[in-house]
Amino acid sequence: MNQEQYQASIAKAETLAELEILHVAVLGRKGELTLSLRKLGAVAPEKRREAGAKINAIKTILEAAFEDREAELLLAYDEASLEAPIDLTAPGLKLPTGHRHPVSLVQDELIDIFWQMGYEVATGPEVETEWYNFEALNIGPDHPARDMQDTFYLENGHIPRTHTSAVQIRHMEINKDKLPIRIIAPGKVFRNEDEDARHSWIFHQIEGLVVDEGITLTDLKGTLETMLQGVLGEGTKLRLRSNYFPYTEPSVEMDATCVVCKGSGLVEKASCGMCGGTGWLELGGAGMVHPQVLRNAGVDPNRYSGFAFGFGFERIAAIKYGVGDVREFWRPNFNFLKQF
Amino acid sequence: MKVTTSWIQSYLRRTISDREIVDSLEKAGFEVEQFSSSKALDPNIVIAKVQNVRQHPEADRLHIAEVFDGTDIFEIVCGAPNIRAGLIVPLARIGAVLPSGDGIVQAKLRGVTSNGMLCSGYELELSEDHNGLLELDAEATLGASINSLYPADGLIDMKTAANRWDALSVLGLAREVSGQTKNEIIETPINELVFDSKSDYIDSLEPSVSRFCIAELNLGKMQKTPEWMAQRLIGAGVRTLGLIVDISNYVMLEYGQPMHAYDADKVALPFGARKTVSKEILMTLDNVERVLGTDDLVICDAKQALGLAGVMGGAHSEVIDTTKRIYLEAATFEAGIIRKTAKRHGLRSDASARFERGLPVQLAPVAMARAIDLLVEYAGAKVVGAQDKLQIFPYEHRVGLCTSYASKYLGIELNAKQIVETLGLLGIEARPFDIVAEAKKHLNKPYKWGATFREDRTEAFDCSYLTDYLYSLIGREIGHTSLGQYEVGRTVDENDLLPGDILFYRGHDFGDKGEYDLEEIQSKDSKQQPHSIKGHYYLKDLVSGGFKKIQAKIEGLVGHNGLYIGDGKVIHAAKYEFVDGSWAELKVPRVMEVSIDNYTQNPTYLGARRHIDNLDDWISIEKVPWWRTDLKLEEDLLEELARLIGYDKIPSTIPAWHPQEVQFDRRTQPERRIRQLLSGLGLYEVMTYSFVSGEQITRLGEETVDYLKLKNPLSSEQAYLRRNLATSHMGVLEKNRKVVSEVGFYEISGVFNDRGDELPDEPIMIAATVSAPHEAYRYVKGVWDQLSLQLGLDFQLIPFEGSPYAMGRAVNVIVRGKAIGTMGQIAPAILRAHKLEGEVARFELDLGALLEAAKTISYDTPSKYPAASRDITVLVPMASQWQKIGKALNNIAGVKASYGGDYYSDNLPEGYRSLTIHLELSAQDHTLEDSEVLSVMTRIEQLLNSTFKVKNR
Repeated sequence: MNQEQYQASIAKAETLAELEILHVAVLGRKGELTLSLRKLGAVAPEKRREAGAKINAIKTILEAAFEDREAELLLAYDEASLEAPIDLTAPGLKLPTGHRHPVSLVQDELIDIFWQMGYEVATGPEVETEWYNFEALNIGPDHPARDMQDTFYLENGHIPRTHTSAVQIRHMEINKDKLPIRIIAPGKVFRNEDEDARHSWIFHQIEGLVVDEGITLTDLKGTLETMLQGVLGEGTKLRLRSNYFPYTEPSVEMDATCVVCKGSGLVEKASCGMCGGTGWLELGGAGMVHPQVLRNAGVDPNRYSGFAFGFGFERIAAIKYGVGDVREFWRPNFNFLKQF
Repeated sequence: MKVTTSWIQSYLRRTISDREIVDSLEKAGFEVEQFSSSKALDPNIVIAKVQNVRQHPEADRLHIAEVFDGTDIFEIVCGAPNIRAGLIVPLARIGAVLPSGDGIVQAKLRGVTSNGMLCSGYELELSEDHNGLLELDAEATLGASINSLYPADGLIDMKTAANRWDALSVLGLAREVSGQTKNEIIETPINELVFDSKSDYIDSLEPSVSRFCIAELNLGKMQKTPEWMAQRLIGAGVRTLGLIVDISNYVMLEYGQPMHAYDADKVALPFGARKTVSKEILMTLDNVERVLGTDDLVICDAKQALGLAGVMGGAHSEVIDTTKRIYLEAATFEAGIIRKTAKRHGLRSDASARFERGLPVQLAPVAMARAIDLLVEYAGAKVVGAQDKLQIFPYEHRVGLCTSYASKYLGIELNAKQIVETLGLLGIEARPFDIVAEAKKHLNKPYKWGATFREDRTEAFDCSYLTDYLYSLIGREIGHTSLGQYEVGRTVDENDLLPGDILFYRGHDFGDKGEYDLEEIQSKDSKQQPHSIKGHYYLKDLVSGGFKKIQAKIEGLVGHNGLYIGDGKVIHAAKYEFVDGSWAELKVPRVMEVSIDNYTQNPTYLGARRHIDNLDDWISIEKVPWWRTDLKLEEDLLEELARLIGYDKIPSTIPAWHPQEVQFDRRTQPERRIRQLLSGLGLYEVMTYSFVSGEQITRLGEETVDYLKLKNPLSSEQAYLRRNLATSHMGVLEKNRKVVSEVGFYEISGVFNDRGDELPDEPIMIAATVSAPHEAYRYVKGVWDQLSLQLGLDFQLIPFEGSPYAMGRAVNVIVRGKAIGTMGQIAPAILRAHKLEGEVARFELDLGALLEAAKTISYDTPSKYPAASRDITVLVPMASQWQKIGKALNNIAGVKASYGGDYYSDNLPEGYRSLTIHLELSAQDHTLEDSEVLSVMTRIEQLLNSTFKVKNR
């Protein structure tokens, strides 16, 4: 074949495979042109140079032709492969996906925030003695505050803990010679009270405790503020209201500006449904550790002071994810859980 | 407690708005649950009774009611769903104007004339309820204006903290508002009531009765309960029940002191208070016969129990219309006993709610005098006699506050004057502490060995009682004896003395070495007068009020001491003086000023001690109002300051962190990684109740006796503490069986194993459960394979049989030679019991043991040379385990064996299954030659044949 015929064949190749076969047949190791070059040895030396130059020139031209045709065919192939229309918004392939529990996600987030603030995670048993759950926290057997926390009792007299505050005493006892301490204690607590959309008889609390020399009310306020901003966002403001807990003095109730109405109490001129129009969300209790509680745990209140706080994290999860009924967290209903 | 704002306002000098009252209560920390305010309604809206109701002939939803307003009967067409005969409702008569501005006219509704309108709470703006007629008290006066029930006023409903009895009194609330708004309190003047201690109204009283006041009154001309009082009672949600009861209720609301009036003709004097005899029966005012326990406290007369103390009076001596003489009782009881009784009888009364919070003993006579003033005015009462019995000693506990500490604590620079003024807003009297001036007040008072506050108040002192007393003025406990004060204080050099420091002599041993302790000093009859105490001393526990004994570190005796007052002078309570090198008894032993030389130049001088570094920085609280029983500690006063200054004014700081050591958390992150892994594998994370029902337990084939049981479960659904997560997880599947047929989920949670009297063992378990039509076990096993791989676990699976698993479908997971949990397929019978179809498989493992055994994965360098792949299929005995075959093959150098699948068929030789093994053969340093591959394959075949009794297909 001459150069034109080769070129015509190249131009006629309709697929990359065809082109490749042709390429092998012409320019491959045993291709026609390659063989022609090899045969030059038989040609007279004076003609060999000229003939070689001619074949090499054709080879160069054909290589270029192959490349061009290849580029054309690739382009055509790409176009063809993308010709069929698809709906880019249609659901993708169904992959096996699991789900984290929203309350457990909130727990992760809370722990991360406190880790960044230098807190350690502490734990304690879920079934407690009267001493750790009540008495060491300044709640004697006849203290009216026992009614604030309706208590389950085991037949042997032990108590499924009513709050994570029990961990305070245990941790201080163990670490009283290694002060200062700075802990959070997340965990389950149990209350013998009827359920409604805002209360379940079992829920998670996170307790915080800082004991050091010279801890003051301003430290408590600053810590709570920072924590709320960590949990609910930078713009969150803190409001403290006086309250009473036997194990802290002073005791306060902590409120955060509502995440929905940002504290205005209004959403599109109507009362905000999240906070009931007050602009504030009640989150939990806090206070300076009562000196007697320090004493009960073997810590000298004349030298050390501290603060503690506690709140439920189902409540935080409900606020964050807009869950109207905290009982959803416990049911469990997979149609609910698959949203997380 | 409910209260009208006008009542609170009546105690305040300056008139403030309802909003200000509500805001200041909230700021003070009293939670206002609800606030509503009402305007006066048209007087033509009156209380009326629906006498009968008939259907409107033309309209299904309308009724025609005959309504009686006490004078006339009106026919009214009404569409409210709750209309019925006998109902007491608001009637807007013709001509009345509703709060909306709509006037009521005679109207024809579907052909029937309506002569007025019956109203809902919403229409009268008294409540949010517009679903039906406002239902009024059955005993309301017909024809009276609705304003008599709902006066124009602000109504506050508030929560009461457990430590504030005074928040259950209108006066207490007014005091808080007064403090927050800098508004003066006006108390009602009360005529003093004279008690005669020699009267014999009162006989013996249980020690749990702290105070008991009784007054005998003859009643005269009884008036109706005055309107102002009735309105305040109604506003507080208390029904009017007749003048005498109304007055005692009124004073209870006003002052917080519950009182009880007895019909004197039904009481056989004297009154007493005693513990009940078991099974004693008392008919209480609510006409319920109550069987009393042995721990109940009753008020009794000479013959019988008259009432359940602090909770509810008895029916027998109830005041009735014809009562001519009454005994009025105002008492104080120990809080705990009242709380227990009220709880035991399920009888939380207005009275018990107050007693439970611990009333101060000072309250009873004040409230009684107030009630008597009202009885004199409105019931024509005359006091015949009165007796008061106080059974506890009203200790005054003094407390102090350090100005610089308060400033630092609150983050606000405060000086003494500001603190004194601020506390003054709540009636707390404070002033900068001047220990020298305090000491000088007692100059020349007599010396008395063993003087105590209880016995001698400030009329006589011994040396250490004087110094102890002076420091107690700021709530500092320095010890009652010289020895204690010497040990508790810090050593100061004589050249650096400051006023307030205490100087000591060595003990002066007169040969009387009687051991002594505090009870002796405090007991009246102690004749023993040791001169010096050796070995130990006592310190008071400021919170519990008890004392703790402290072993002295120093040997020898510490005898006498005195207070340095500056300028080289000392004030001390002395019996002896040191003159010319020897002791001489003073002619008049007394509190006196002497030169410091008496101490420092004396051969028995022991040293000086300082108890507080910056005494001039201190404020002493001279008087805490007796109604503030909650203020005992410096911290309590700091809280008062914070409340008055406002928490919003307190700055924010973040405490510095300088730990002694860092304890690394090896638990939280790994646990979180496991959650992420399992969720990543397609499982749902769930949280389930820790308490389960007996049925859940038995349905799993377990016994409830093995479970810890609640004494007071909310319901039988949650009566036992779960020992494993299987109980809950089968329930999850059952509940969701209509939602999903194929699902996998997991939970990490503590469970409870009974250990008798000890606290239960609470291992944290991780359990995964999969429900699928087929091959559920392989799904779960796949989860476990991933989990164990990620944790780098070496484990073994050992078959076992046990509930809740199917026969031959369960293994123990063995790690480090210990079973840490189980994995398997649930028995079909258990599935049926939970109405489940298909298959369910699960594992449940001790997470702690799992994490302990976890290892960092060690890395195998893969060969750079290509591997030869071979698949072989062999017949293996049924009982052989891939776990062992795979491990043996992988132990051969250069061999990676992986599971290629099992095939079970009847066409195979009996007792065999077909196993496909995928092999990758390689060497680290070259590509294997065919001959090398062959030789490894031969070795593999030999191993399979010899060790695993494999047949070739």
